[in-house]
Order: sequence, then C-alpha cells, then structure tokens
Amino acid sequence: MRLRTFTAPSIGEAMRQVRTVFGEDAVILSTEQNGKSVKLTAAIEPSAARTGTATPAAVPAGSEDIEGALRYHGVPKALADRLLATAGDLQGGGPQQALGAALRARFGFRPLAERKPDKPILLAGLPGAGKSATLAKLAACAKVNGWAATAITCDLAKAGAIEQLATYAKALEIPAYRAKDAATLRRAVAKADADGSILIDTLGTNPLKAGDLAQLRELAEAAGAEIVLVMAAGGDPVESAELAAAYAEAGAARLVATKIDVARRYGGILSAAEAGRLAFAGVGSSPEIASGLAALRADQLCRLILPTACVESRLPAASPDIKALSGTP
Amino acid sequence: MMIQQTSRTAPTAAFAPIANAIAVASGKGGVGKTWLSVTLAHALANLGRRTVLIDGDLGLANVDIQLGLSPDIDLADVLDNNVPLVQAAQRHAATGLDIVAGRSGVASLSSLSSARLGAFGRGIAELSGRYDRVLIDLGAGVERPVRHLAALAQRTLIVTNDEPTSLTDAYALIKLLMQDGAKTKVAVVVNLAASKAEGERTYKTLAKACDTFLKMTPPLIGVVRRDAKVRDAIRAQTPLLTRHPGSEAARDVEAIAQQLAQAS
Repeated sequence: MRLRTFTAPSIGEAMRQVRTVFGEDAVILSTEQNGKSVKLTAAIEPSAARTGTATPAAVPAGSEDIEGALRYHGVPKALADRLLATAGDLQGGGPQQALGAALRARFGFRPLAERKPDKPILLAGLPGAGKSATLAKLAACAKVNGWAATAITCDLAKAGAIEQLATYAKALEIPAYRAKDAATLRRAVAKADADGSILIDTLGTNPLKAGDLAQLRELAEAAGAEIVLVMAAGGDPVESAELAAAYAEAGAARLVATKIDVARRYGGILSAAEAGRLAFAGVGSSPEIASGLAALRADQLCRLILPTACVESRLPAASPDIKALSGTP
Repeated sequence: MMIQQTSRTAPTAAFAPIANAIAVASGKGGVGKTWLSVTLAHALANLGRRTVLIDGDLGLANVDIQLGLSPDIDLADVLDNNVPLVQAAQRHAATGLDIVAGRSGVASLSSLSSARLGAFGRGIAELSGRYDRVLIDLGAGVERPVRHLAALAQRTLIVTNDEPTSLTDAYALIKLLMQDGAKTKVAVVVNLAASKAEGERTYKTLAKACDTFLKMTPPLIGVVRRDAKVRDAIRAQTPLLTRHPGSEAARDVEAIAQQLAQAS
C-alpha cells in the first residue's frame, strides 16, 4: 500500500491532487479540517487489480466501422441510419470522431454526479435495475465533491431494502429516511439538508401498469423531485425504448445506464435515450459503491460502441472514480 | 548477516496458535513497541496474571535495557546452545514478571532456519504451560521470523502511531499475516496519540485501508496517549507503572491489560 497525506485549501483541490498522484484507484482513508485547509489521507494498493472500470467490449468482427459497430450493438435501424447520416456529414477525422460528433448531436449529456442537484433526485426503474446502488454511488460522489447527501427510500416492500439503505448510509455517514407514501416523503424531504443532494430510491415499477407510473408521478410531485430513469445496459433495444418512453411520459428526463461492465451490447440504452428523449446522466460500471457514478459523455459513449481505437483507453476518462467512502470525520 | 528474504508464505498456517500467547508487533520500528510490551506485561502481572515476557527482537533486543537487567542467560543461549527456554526465564522482582531476554546485535533469530524457528515455537508452547500470559515482543519488520512468531500467538497486537510510515508498515504486516494464513487474532494499538480521539482517528485510517484492500477490519484494543512520563521512565530504566503509576499512559496500558487478562 502506498499512503500519502495531501493538504489543500478545499477538499475538491485535495481530491484533484489525489487523482494526479494516485489516479482513479485511490482510496480516501481520512479527511481532516485544519482551520482553512483540508488534510486528506489517501492510499492505493498497487497490486490490487482494477475492478469496476468499464472495459470496452471486445471488438467484434465487422464492427471496425460505424455501421458495423451499430449493427453489432443492435441499434435499431432507424436510429442507426440517423446516426450514420449525421456521422457521414462529419467524417473526415476518422470514424471515432465522426461517431462521437454524431452522438453529441443526437443525444443529451447531463451528468448527475458532477454538480449539486438543484432539486431532489428520484430514481425510478424496473426492479433490479440498480437504483439503490446508484443512490449510494451518487451519495459517494456528493461526499467526494464536498456537499451533503440525504438518502430516502420509498422501497419498503422489497426484502432487505431498508437494511441495504441503512448499510449504505452508515458507510457513507449520511442520514437516511423511510417514506411509505407521498405525504411521508414530503416530510422526509423537508427534514433533509436542502443544500446537498437529496436522493430518493423507489420501489421497482412496472411502466406497463398505469397505476405504477401514476404513483411515481405522485411521489415526484410530493418531493419536488426530478425523476431519473435507472436502466441496466444490455437490454433488448425495442423493449428498452418502450420502457424509456413510458418513464419519460411520467416525467423522466435523464437516464443512468447501469451494469455496463456486464453487458456487451449497448443498443438498448441508445434506443432508450432516443425514445424517451433522455439525456445521459451517468453510468454505473461496477458493483462497488465506492467507485461512484461516472459521467457519460459523447466521446466515452463512442468508446463503448466503437472501441477499436480506444481499446487501451479506460472509460470514462474523467470519471469521479475515487473510492471515498470514509468521507469527512 | 543478511535477513532472510521474505517468503510468500511463512510456515505459520499449519499449527494452532498458543492460547495464552500475545505477540506485540509493529512493522515499523520506533513506535514504542518494546516499551508497550514491558508495560503491558507489568500491568498483567499487577492484575495477578503469571506473566512471562520474551524479547523476540534479537537483533535489537532491549527489554533487558528498559528494565535494567543483566541476564545470565538469554535467548541467544537458547537458540545457539540449546539451553531450554524455561531456564532462560528469569524473575524480575520489581515487577513480578519473568523475562526471557534477547541479546542485541546477535541477529540470530532473524536468520534462523524454519526448523529452528519451529523448535523455538515448541519451546514457547512448552513455556506457556507455566504461565497465564506469554508476551512476545517481536522485532520490527515484516520478515518471515517476525510473522512466524506472530502466528504462534493467539493474539497479535499491531502497534502503530499516526505517521504514514507506521501506518503503512502496520498494514503491510497485517496483510502478510493474512496471506500466510496465520490464525492469530490481530488487534491494533495506537501509541503516542495526542488524545484518545486522535488515536481513534488514526485507527480508523488503518482500519479503512484494511477494510478496503484486505476485506477485514482488525479491532482497536486501545489508544495510548503520548506522555512525557514514559520517556522519563525509560531513561531511568524503571517500569512506568512503578515510576509513574496513575499517569495517562499507564492508565491507557492498564486498560488494554484488563482486556487481555480477561480474554480467554
């Protein structure tokens, strides 16, 4: 283990120093406020294998060009054609740049983890999509960035859901509340630190049931929250598009793609984002909470889809992938 | 003489630890390990536990120096001349302890073969039947003999302070003991702490590293506060509990001894 202390005027600056010296695998062991400076102790275990860093899928035969890559990922033909048309107009710098520019032109990218949200975030999605883990990762990012976080769960039905939230909250040293309905959620939000991230976990919903989506809307309204869809990568593109459209109708405007480390084809999240007009809000690339929620931007999405020239690159290039569960004392 | 290369696996996993043996180790030197061993042993004796302290730091043995002893027989005689370990245990009347002294500069323990280390371990096991508690003050470092002796003990206290080098070496020793498959129960003592709270903060730093990288969290058995009276006692070659009973550091060590006296 290599261990070092960093002193800086702010935790953000100290974290930047940690990243510079130790890279993205650093673990924050402790933080200490000394007057106007922050002392941060970080460590790295050089022999530890990187876990949880998304590795671009193996390059499939025939996907060396954009069209082949989109076909491999199962991107629906209509969307593929639109991307190809945009990319064709921009080709000249090579397929990577062309696809990156096309993705940038056709999709929105609004990372959740990098800025303090101006309203509560309500995470919605199918059962097992990774909502609770996403909540914990967002809370970890908030801690790293130096603002408060509060966790609220409306998922009182799933076995172990409350215990899971309690475990996350304890590890992250953040307050956690339960809310059984819109009224109690409103009260929980009122108790939370409004100057930080207020993160709300929900019961897995069935978007094909009107009642589920209505309940979701009711919760979001009670909390004054933005609905963010959490969706696992690797799903069927057509199915994913229909689901995303339903959640968008309920008010979702952003999408967190989870489990990309266990998926090889990303047509599902592309078609979901397009069908729901959802901006990419982040990507979960590891089951480890401490790895945080990485931002997903056009060039990083491009590397996922067309990794030929980026096999050596780690994705995401500028993620907040710092393991920082200990937080402030 | 060269210290033997650290092997990937010390021959420690095969045998059950000695139930009443407590090893005191640190990884890094200069963290107050020997002083803690002496004071802890003294505190155990004061609690009525028949206690023997073995100076396992042959290369830089100084238990005898801290206690102002001039032993006739020491560990070098045991290891080099086959003197039974039992004979090397000599009473220190002022503390009520039995002491097996080392011999500075001999360094034979650090270069012992596995077979002789094994024989030494059997000697400690035999000796343990005569006592309630056997404390082994280990040398600094993480080499195989240190880990071997740590693995002999039911408990190993890892002594650290808030210096990054101390924390790093303490972590390294814990990691290697785990890799060895040692069955000793590791616990952490934070020494030279500015306050109890600072000591606990230091412990949390080490615990977080262990939890993250090793997926285990050694418990904290105690924090010993920095106390000028410790230095005074060492300079006077007199045990702290004799020279400054009731001092902060004395009370902190006694609190650890209470736990070790009660532990089965």
